Amino acid sequence: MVELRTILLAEDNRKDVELTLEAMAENSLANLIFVVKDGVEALEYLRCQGKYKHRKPGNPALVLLDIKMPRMDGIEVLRNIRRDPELKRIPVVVLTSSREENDLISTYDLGVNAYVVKPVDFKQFIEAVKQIGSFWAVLNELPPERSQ
Amino acid sequence: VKNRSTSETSTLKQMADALIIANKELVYQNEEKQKRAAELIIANKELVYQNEEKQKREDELIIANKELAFQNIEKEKRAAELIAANKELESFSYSVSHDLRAPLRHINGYVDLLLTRFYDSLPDKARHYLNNIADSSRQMGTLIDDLLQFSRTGRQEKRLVDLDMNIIVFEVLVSIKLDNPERNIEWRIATLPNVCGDKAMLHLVWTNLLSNAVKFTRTREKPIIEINVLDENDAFIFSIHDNGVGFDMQYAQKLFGVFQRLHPTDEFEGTGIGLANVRQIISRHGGLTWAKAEPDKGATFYFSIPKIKED
Repeated sequence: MVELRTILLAEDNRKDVELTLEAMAENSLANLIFVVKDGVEALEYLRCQGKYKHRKPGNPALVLLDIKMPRMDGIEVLRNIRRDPELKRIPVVVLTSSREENDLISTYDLGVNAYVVKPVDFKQFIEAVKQIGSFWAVLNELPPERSQ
Repeated sequence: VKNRSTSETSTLKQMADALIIANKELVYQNEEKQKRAAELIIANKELVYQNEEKQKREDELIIANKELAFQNIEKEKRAAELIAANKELESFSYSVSHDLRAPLRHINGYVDLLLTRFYDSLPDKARHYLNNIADSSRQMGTLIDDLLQFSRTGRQEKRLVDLDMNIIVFEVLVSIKLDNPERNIEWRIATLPNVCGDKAMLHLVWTNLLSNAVKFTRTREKPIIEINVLDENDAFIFSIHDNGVGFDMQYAQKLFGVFQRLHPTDEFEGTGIGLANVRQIISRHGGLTWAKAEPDKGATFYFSIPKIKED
């Protein structure tokens, strides 16, 4: 049995959250998802701070990042993750609405692992979520937990 | 005595003559002096006039200089405004791509969920409505994507290189034939020249024009598409002729506008952005676009590309 690992989903729009969870459910991956609703909360979760002070420690297998979010956007979250010795190796996949060139450049410059544009068509969206989930949460070999 | 007096008289006469001459000389010199004086006065007046003119010119120069400085400031203002407008356009298309697409995706998602999860419990009418909603939101998605691409093409910097049009047309044809394997079209393609242009942009021009020709000959039993070129003095004029459904020349003006269509979507699909893209790209290359057609007899689309590099 393959060990299933958490995916942290940072997404501010509740409909997007619901649809992503539905898509994950279509592929039996919904129980892996932990949802935070903006960049600040994502970092609190990752650093076990604030309301996540008492969560079980450990990095998620993947951070799924929306770019446009209140308080702190996805690019800023990515920058913080890459700067943090404890978090810098976490795979990060941007899952966003737009194929904006500036966003592509800045996220790749910051070392994003993949950049996926949410397909408008829901069937394609389900397929995209399935591929992301099964690859990063199942197939991909994770980096060692402690930084060296 | 008489002799002496004669001699005295003659001396006196000589003196008188000399005096007269001297006098005349004086008068003459006086006249000359007056003339000089008059000339001096004129010269003086001339000098004063010239001075005034100089002053005038100087004043004019100062005004002209001020005008120039003002124009420069205005030019800088315009440039700054243009940059600002461009930025605004960029953030506008960002919003269009991000903010408009998100709700569409939600509509699609929920409609799809309704149709898949509750299909059996939905009456036929409800399914029909839902399918129409899905269809419209898909169409809107395409419109948004097309509009975005159009605005991107307009802002993109063009990279001018020497291009073999034969190669571009060949590449476009390969993908068109792949997309339309069921179509049996007779292609008549002339040998094309090299032009100076942006490869990706001209690729899009040919793609749009040739796929239009393919699309609008769909109802023909023996579709024929011809590609020709005319060597004008300072430009090449390319033409794409098809024997498709054509259109009424009355509406030719609309043809190259954004989202303008001359055929109902049910008959021929498309958003109506293709020819707007063509016109935008060709005009950015310094060329022109136009078309001739007759309903039911086919259409010919032309575009010109100048032989000399634009910038």
